[in-house]
This record gives sequence, C-alpha cells and structure tokens, in this order.
Amino acid sequence: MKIHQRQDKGVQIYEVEGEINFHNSPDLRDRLHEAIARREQKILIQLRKVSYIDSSGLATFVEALQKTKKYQGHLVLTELMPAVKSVFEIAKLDGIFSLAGSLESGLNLLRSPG
Amino acid sequence: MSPSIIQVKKLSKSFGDRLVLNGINLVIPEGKITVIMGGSGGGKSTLLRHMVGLTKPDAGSIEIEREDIVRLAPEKMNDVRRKFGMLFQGSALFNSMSVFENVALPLREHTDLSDEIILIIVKVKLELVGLTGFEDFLPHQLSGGMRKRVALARAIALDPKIVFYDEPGAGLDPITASMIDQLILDLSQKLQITSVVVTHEMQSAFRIADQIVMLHKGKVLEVGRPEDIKTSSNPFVQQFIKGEHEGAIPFRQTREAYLKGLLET
Repeated sequence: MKIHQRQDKGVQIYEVEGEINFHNSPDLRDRLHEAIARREQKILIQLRKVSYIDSSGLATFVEALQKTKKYQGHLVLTELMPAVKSVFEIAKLDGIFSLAGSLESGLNLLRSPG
Repeated sequence: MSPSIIQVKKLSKSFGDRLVLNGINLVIPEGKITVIMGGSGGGKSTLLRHMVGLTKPDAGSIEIEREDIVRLAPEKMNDVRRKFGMLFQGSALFNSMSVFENVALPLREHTDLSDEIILIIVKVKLELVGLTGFEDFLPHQLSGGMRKRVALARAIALDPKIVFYDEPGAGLDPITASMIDQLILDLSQKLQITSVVVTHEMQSAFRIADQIVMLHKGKVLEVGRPEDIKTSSNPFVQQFIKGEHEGAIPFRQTREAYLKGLLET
C-alpha cells in the first residue's frame, strides 16, 4: 500500500494505492491521525487505486470519521471500486460516510457550505 | 463451476487398525458452500480436522490455494490458518470472557491492531451476526443459538477466505438451526466466503449446499448438487436421505466382525 498526500485549496488529499489490510492499515491510521491531530477541517481520501479493503481498513476509516466529527471536521471518500464499496455496504456503513464518485464531486462536497 | 480453493488428493488415515479415511479425493470450489455429509463414523469430522491441519494423514495431500498443508512447516501453517476461520461444534467460547473479548481474541492474537480499531471491527462483526449490543454479555447469559452466532463472529473476525463449520446445527432446536443456516448462506454470499460444512442433518444440507459430498466408510460415495443427491440411484445415499435403519448400510456389524472382535480382544 502506498499513500500519496497533497493539498488542494484547503483540502488535505490522501490517495491510497494497493490493498488495505491487517498488515498495513496501522500505517494508514498513523497518517490520518497526523491530519486529525492538526484538526484538518477537510480531508479527502481517494480510493480509485484500492482494489481490496479488509475489516481493519474499514475500521480505520470509521475511527477517522468519528474523530473528525468530534471537532466538526469533514471526511470524504471518493472513487470506491465496486469490491471496496460493497465492504462498506455489507457492514451497513455506506450511509454514514460521505462517498463521492469522482474527485471533483468529492471536492465540491467539502467546499459547499455546511 | 468456480475455481477450486481446496484440493484433497488420495487422503488416507487409520486410527489403529481402523481405516477412517480411505483415499479421499475432493475439490472444494471457491466462494461456494460445500456440505460434507455422512453418518456417524463415516469420516467427515476426521476429514475436517485434516483440512484445518489439526490431524496429519498417513498418505495423500491437502492443497489450500495450491499450498500442500500436509507438508508445510509449522510457522508457515500459521499463515495458512489466518486464511480460514472455524466454527467448532460446541461453539468453544471462553466462558469467563465477554462476547466482545471472545470475538476480539483472534484480532489480538494475530494482528498488531490498536484497541480502538479492534473495538470497531468487533462491533461490525457482531452486527453481521445480528448481535449488536451484546458486547458485554457473558456466554452463559446467552442462548445456544446466540452463542453459536458469537462463535461465528469470532470465526470471521480476521476476514477469512474459508470458514469451516463442524455440525453447526448440533444441539440447537430446528428453528434456531435453520436461522444459523440462513446466516451461513448470508455470510457466504455477502462476504464471498468459501464454506465447508460438516453435518449429518439432511435438511440443513439441502438448504445451504451448492455442492454435497457424501462420505461413507471413509470413502467419497457421491458428489453433486443437492438435486443430484436427491435423485441419486445409489442405495446408500437414498437410505441416508430417508433416514431408514434398514437398507444398504448395515444396522449391525456382520457376524464375522462381531466374532472376530470378541475373540481378538
């Protein structure tokens, strides 16, 4: 798994590449915690290059969502491949996340007021 | 048919002079439910124990994703074990531990995940088996069916590709047993898990199986879809389906075996 990080007009963007599993999800968690510790208001995670995510990856996103909500931050996940999206659906968690089909619509979600 | 995930080849095992598995050949298709059926002493539990690496055969091989687990070094076997979960017959929960601790156990043992992440994973798994809110209960405070569901949540804690079930309906009333069957179906379909179920309950087998394997006297008697098994012309299979005590399967050992047994002890 690789994580590429960049900024785009106040949005912290993480692009994850590869599989998210028990072995490497702690690394992803550490990276997200850095942003959370800085109380980043707008975090976007691009998942277009993630082919597989296990329960620990899912839990990592759930925790990040809990933590960002606590300081009124916003977290958006974009471009989920069908296999990854179904993991969210099976766990009945697709409803609590802001999911966007494209980077553009994800950015719009974060930039729209409220 | 789907590609195979487990291949059993010419597997044989004796306990003393009793041949329990006699050259078993078997292919388990990926993402499907295979039910291994047979009477008591037919070898099905022994076969299951071989597939999870708890018993070594006298001859033959068991390939899980093309890796022969019979000849695998113990440390490598641990990696293979992470690919599968097992639902034990008696649920095998730790009575002194809460539901949460029981489900969290494999995550604590096999991963370096933090407590916060483990807590979330356990909640998701409990929701999958319909037990949200039961985290703090102790096993003895739950019904047999609920304990089985906790055991199932534990079996899928590490996102296994394969789940082995040893008599999942044993000791449960028919309605609860059928609920467990439904759960096995749900989990297999939703999570695309390969399921290998050992049972002697015909109704359950016909309800959930994509493939049924009939074992008798340590041999594979017949393999097929439930409808093939139902219409099988094999007298042993028919006797088993109908649950008749008279038929191709002898009710008693032969007189010779009886006398031989008496004189040799």
